[in-house]
Amino acid sequence: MRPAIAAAVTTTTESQSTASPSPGAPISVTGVTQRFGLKDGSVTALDDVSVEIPSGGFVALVGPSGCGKSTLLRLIAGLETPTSGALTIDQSAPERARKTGQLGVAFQDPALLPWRSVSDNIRLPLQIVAPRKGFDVEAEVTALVELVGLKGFERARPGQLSGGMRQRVSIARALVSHPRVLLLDEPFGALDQMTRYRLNVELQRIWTERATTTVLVTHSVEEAVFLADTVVVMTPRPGKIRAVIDVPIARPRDEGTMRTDEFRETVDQVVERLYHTAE
Amino acid sequence: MNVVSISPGRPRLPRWEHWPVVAILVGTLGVWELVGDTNLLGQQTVPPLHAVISQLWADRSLYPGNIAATGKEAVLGFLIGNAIAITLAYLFVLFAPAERALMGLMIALYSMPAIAALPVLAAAFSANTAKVTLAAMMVMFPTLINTLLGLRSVDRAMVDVVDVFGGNRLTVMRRIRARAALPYLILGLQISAPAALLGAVLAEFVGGTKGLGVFMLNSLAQFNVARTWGAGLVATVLASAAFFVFMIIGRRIAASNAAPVVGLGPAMGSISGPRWRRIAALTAQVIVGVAVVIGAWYLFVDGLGLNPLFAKTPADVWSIITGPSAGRIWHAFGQTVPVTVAGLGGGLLAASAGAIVFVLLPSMERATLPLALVLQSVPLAASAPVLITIFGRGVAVTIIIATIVTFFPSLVTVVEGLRRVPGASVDVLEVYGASRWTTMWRARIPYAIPAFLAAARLVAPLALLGVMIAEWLATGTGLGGDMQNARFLVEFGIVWAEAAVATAFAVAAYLLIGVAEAFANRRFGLSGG
Repeated sequence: MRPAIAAAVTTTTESQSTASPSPGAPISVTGVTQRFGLKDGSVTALDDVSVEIPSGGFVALVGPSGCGKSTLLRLIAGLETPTSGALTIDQSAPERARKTGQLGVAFQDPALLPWRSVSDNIRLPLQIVAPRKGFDVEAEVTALVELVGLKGFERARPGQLSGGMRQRVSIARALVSHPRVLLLDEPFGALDQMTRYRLNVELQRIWTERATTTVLVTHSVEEAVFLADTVVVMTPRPGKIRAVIDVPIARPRDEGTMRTDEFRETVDQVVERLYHTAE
Repeated sequence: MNVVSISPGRPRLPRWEHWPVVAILVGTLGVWELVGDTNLLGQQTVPPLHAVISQLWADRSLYPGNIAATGKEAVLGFLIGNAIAITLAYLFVLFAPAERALMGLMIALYSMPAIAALPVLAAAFSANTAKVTLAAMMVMFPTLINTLLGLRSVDRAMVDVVDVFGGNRLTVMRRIRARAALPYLILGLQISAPAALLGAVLAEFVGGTKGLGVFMLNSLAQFNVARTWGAGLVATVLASAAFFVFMIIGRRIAASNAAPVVGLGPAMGSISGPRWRRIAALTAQVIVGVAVVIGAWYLFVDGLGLNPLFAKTPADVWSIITGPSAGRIWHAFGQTVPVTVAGLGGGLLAASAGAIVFVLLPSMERATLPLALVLQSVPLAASAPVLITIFGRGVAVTIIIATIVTFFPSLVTVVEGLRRVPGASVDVLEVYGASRWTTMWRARIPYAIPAFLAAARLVAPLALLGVMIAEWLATGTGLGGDMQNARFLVEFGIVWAEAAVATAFAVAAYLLIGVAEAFANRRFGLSGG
């Protein structure tokens, strides 16, 4: 199984240069505040949040429910406009990145189209963002199906899959267009621990090869530390950034990384900042 | 409309502004006045607005008595029909075999064109009872299917929680299902309130001395066009008022914005499993349904001891349909069916196009959907005479009436279907830079196919009713016209046979569309694998 995946990802890397102009777009979030009107008054979801993510960086957002991490992700995706402050992807508005097909996304809700097969769901972004000439869509889809461990289920419909399998389809879909920015909102939430680890390792490898700028929202501190260069700890009501912790662990990281002292120490550091919040 | 679902974390939509609605309303009234003043559509067709208003004023002493007569029948029918519908819905959920036994009968009663039901009811009951019964018949089905849908809208997990704490089916019913069903029940009442009025007015078309229906028909016979329009306007205002009262109650009750907007009861009991099992189950359901309908028919005729001169049993009707009059009945049937199919198809296509435009251009929708909601509640009985004054008494008027009857309920339903796409799916498409049209084409339209078919299923009997009313009031052709002739010539066998044929056609259309809908639901995965 391993060599097959390696081969598949090699194809992937080769077509990379033709799929996007350049890997990884820098993201800049400056003094962003987001308020939502409810029936009685308004709720501040994000209060004066600033983050800089360099080209090809990997940032994980962690924090308790309601700290605005998903809101921040939606703002970066251009799905919402902030009440105040500025966001840019590659020095221009997120709107532009969106319209030019530079983003990839996987939400907690797999959001698959129920009448499409697994392969057709993965293919969807390439029907919206036209792939560059010479990009082998079929090979890419096949490679991704294999990557997320759904070989043999290509023709199944979402209704026939388990929750975890649907999420894996949504992760494959996020990768298919070779986005310059990958936005992941708790995409591994419904997976069993083993699959989760395996996909963490695979995502880490793909990210290393493609150098896609990635923002990951997660509840798992281990996952955040394993994958990210920088872990951003957020606090709720109003959503603010409490701490920005750099992860000093060298790449490539693999299963062994999680057993190192370095890894445990960083996890403890993040956990301490998270719990400090609750007091 | 502020019933659009707002996905969490999205800024609130701006407050709904009323001015575009008002502007369009005023514009419509202005165009009406102009068309009337200039006789654009011919003499004696569209009376100008001011003429209708002055006629309304002149008739001001005539309305209270007529409204009271119609209102009494409609309210009584509304209460009785809904009491039956709600009881049946509870019974069906608590005791599934009851649903399998009775659903076929309920579908037949819904599909039976009111105009065909009337002579049948007149054979059994006094004039007043017949009117109330017809109003009750018209309200039962919308309330039944919506309440059923509501009672079943409960999460499996919620039921399990009550089970774990030792609750039984009745506890689940009382604590969970009844509350969950409330918004759906209100929606059912919202649809059935104008239907009760329609039933009462239609009943008055056929016989009686008092009421809005009689008043309207007399004005049509006297070529008092302004009065016909005035009475139609009054009936419309009454129906819309009933509709809006329940709509406002529904808004109050619905705690969340998840409240339903249109009722799309399930096509048929959800049968799962391999194809042969589904077909077998459906066949069994149809056989049981037919058997129960025939049993109920015999019970109605023999149980009530009806005079065999006026009331016919299934055996009588069978011998008529297969006897020498067969040619006449099928000739009439052959006139009615193509017109119904054309009107239904045209109405559905126009409604789908309109719905797509509404969803692509929300500002357009905000301006006109409230009017569509009102027009949806305009009783056929009010619009048919008015449309006859405009379009005359040719075949065209039957198609136009069927199209209009189909259009408004379908429009509202398809808009809702196009909106039903989960927010996350739209977000994913948007992240990839999909245009509104791409989102429409790739996600919304496929998601709306089941809603489209549900609309078709529910309006098909209405389209037939519309055609038959027009045939009966205006053209004198088809099943509607021939039933009227037969009644006039005291050929009760023909009346019953034609009522049965019309009902069988409507039921067949309902079932066929229902099968297509069940297929679409599976194909488009809305009910899982």
